[in-house]
Amino acid sequence: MLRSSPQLFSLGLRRACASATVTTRVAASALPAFLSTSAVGHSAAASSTSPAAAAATGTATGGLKVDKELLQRLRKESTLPFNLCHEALLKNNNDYTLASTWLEKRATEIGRAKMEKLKDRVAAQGIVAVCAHEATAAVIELNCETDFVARNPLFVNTAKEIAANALQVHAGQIRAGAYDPSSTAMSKAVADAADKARSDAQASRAVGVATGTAAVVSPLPQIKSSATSVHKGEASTDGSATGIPLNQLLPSLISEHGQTVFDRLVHVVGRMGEKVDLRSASVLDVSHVTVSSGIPGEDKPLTGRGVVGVYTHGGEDSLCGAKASAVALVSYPPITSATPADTVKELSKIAHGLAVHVLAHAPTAVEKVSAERATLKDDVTQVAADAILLEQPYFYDTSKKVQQVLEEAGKRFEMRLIVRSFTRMVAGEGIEVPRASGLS
Amino acid sequence: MLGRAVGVVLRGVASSIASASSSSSLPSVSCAIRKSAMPSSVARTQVRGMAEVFSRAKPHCNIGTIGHVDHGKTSLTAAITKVLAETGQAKYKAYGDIDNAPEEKARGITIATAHVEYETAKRHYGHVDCPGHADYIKNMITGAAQMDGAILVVAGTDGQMPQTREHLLLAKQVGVKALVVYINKADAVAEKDQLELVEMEMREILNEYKFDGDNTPIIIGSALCALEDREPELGRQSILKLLDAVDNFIPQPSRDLDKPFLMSIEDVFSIGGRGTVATGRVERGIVNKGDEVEIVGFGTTPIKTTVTGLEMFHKQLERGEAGDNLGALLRGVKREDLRRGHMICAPGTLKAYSKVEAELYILTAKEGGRHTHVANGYRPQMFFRTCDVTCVVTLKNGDMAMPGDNATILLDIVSPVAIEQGLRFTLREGHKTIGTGVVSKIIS
Repeated sequence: MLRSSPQLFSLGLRRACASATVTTRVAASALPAFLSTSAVGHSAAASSTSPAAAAATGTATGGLKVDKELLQRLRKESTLPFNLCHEALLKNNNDYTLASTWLEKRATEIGRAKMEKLKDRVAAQGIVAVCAHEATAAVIELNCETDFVARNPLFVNTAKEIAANALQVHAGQIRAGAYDPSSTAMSKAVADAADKARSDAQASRAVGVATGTAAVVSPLPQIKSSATSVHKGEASTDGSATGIPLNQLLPSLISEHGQTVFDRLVHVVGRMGEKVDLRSASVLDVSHVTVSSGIPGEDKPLTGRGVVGVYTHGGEDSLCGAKASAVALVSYPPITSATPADTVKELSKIAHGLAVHVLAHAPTAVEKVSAERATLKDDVTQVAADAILLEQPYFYDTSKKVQQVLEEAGKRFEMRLIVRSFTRMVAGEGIEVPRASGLS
Repeated sequence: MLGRAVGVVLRGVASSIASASSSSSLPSVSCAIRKSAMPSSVARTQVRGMAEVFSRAKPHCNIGTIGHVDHGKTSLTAAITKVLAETGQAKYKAYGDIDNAPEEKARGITIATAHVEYETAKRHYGHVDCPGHADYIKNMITGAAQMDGAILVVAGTDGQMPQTREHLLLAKQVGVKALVVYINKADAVAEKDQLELVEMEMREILNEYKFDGDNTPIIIGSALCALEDREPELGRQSILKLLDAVDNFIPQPSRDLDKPFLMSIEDVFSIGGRGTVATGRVERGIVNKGDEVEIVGFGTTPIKTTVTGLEMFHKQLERGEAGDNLGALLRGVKREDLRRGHMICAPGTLKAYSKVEAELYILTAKEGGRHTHVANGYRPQMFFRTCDVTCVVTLKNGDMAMPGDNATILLDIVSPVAIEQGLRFTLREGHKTIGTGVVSKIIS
C-alpha cells in the first residue's frame, strides 16, 4: 500500500497529468493560483512544516481549503507525511501536478533537514547486509533508532542495495588501480560493475573535493563525521578485509533508483522519520591471489582466485541480518579456469561453513602467528587462545579443530586450504544508548 | 489423625515459600510469574517501604503503547496519568519521569520498559512502554507484562509511517487481540479532512493486518493539549474518550480464579492409614473437598482420582483457590505413582505432550546465560511450574541461535509432560539459566 519507489512516484504524477478532473479544476482556479503562489513565495523562505505557518498561508490565500481527495492521492503516491502533502497542495492552490512537483523538489531538502534535526540522536539498532560474488564479498552496517525500522522492507532493501554498491565501488577501485582486468577470472558481472563503479568513483572524487570547500552546501561531511569507516588499508585483492571509504560509497549511484546511496538514505529518513546512519562498509576480495605452496625449499607461488563464504544471522533471508560474517578461503593450487566446477562448489561450501563458525565463535585472529603479529602491530595486549580461528572447535563438528577440518578437506581435494581473512559485523555493536533517550 | 500430614504440608509450604523468595531463576516458575505480573510500580513502592496497599477491588488489565518514536507515546502516557490524577485514579507522572526507560530484570532477563499504573472507574491498568520490538518480545516471553491490549499512537501530522506495519506485526506476535488507536497532535493539523484521512488509512492497515479495522475505536486528540491544559476538546476530553474506549474495547483477560483448577505437585507424602498427600501451590481455579481430579504428567495416561481432604496451615479446608499453598489427600493413589512435576487438574483440562513449538529468548552472558551459541540437538533441562525434564532443541530457522536472540524452536521432551499453549518455561544447563520461553504451539 505504501509505495516508496520513485518510479512509482513519477508514474503517479503522469497519471495525475492525464486526469481530466484535475485539469479542469486547475483551469477554474487559475487566477487565485497566481495570487497564492506569490503569497506562498513570500512565506516559503521561512518554509516550515509547522501547521501555524500552513494555517497562516491558508488565511493569506483567503481561507483556501485543501481538496481532500487530492490530499489523499498525493499522500498515497508520495508516501510523505500528511502535513507536507497538505502544505504542497495549499501552496499550489490544489493543483495536483504543481503540488507533486513542489513536493518532489522539496522531498530531498526536507529529508536533509530531517537528517540534520535527528543528527544528535542515537541510532543503535540496525541491520548488516552482505553482497557476495564468487571471490568477493561486501558487508555493510546500516543503523537506525528502533528495531521496528530495522525490520521494515524499505530499510532492509536499502541496506542490501548499499551492500551491492559497496562491492561495485570496490571493484571500481581495482580497475582504477594497478589491477589488469584482462588477466583475471573476474566474472562479467563484476567487470560490468567495475565499469559503472569506476565512473562513480570518479564522480565521488569530484564530490569529495567539492565538499572540502565551505562554499558548497553539502551534508556529506556530517555523515562522514558521524560514521566510522573501517578503513584497514589500501584496496587489495589478496584477501585482507578492506574498508570502503564512505565518501566514495555515499555518492555512488544505486541503479534501481537512479539515486546515490546518500540520496537514498535521505529518502529513507524522509519516510521513516528516524536517524539513519551508514556506519561501516568493508570488502573481502580474493579474486586475484598469489598463494605459496608452504613447503620449504620448493616454493612455487601460483596465482588464481579463492572463494568467499558469507553468513547472515537473524535476518529474513541470506542477504541481511543482525549479524553477519564473511570468510576468504584460498587454496594451493588456487582456483583457475582449469579447476573442476564441483571442487569450486565444495570449496564455497567449506567457506560458508567457516563463516557460520566465525559468527558463532567470534575469533579475533586466524592463527597464532598473525595473532602475535597483531599484538606487535596493533598494540593488542593479548589474543586469547580460544579466540584463534584455527584453534577453535569447529562449529559443525566440535570434536575437531578448524585446522583439522581444513586439513581433512584439503586432502580430499589434494589442495592446501588457507583462511586468508575474515570479517564479522554486529549491527549496533558498541553503540551506547543513553537511557534517557530510550523513549519519546 | 491428619497430624502427620499437617506437619508434612507445612514443610511443603515452607519449601515453596523459600523457593518463591529466592532468585527468580529457580524452577519455582509460577511464583516468579505471579510476582512479576503485578504492576512493578506497586512492587517498587513496597520496596521503598511506603505502606501502600494494592487493592484487588477492580479487575486488572495490562496494556502497552506502540508507535513511532516521535508520535508522542510518552506524552500520551503522561497525559493519561495527569487526567486520571484529577480524580485520584493515578499518580501524575510528568514526561520527564517516564522518559527514561529503565532496564528491569524479569526472570533474569534485562528488559527496557517504562511502567505506569493507573485505574479507571472500571479497571486497574498496568501500562508498559518499550523502546523496541525485542523488548516487547522479551516481555511476552517472560510474562513480565503480558499485553492484553495496546494503544497504537499515530501523529495526525504525519499519518502512519512505513514501520506502522512492524508495529502491527509485533502486536499480532505478542498476542494482542484488540487495540485502540490514538491520533495524536491533532492541534497541529490545520484541516479536519486530513485527520479523517489519517483515520481512514489506519482502518485500512488494521484490516490488512487482521485487526478489526472497521470497529476499532480511533480517538483524535492531542496529548500535549491535555498536558498544557488547553483546548479541552482535543486535550482532556480526548484522553477520557481514549480511556473509555480502552475500558470497553479491550477484553478483560480471565482471572486465575475463573480458570479450571490446576496445582503443580511440589512434594508427595504417604500418611499411614489415610493415603497419599500431594503438596503444592494452586496456580489457578478452585478445588473443593470431594472434587474429582486428574493427575497428568510423565506419561500419557492421566490418573483419575478424588480429593478427599484439603489442608492449609494446620487447618482443614473445604475449598482451596488460586494462590493457596495446600496439601491434598488423594483417594486410591500410591505414593510411588506420583512425583514432583505431576499436575493435579480439573478432569480433561490438561494433557501430556512431548513435542511443542516455542518462542525462546536466549540469555546473554551478561544476564548469566551462555557465552556461545545454541545449536541444533542441544539438550538442556526444561523447567516449568515444579516440573523439570530433559528436552532436545531444534531451531526452526538456521543452525544456531546466539545469546541475545529470540528464536522459534521445536522442543522434543524425553517423556510426555503436562504442557499447554502459553506455558512459560526456562531452559537450564547445570546451574545456569540459558533461556526462557513460552510455548506457542502443541505438536504432539
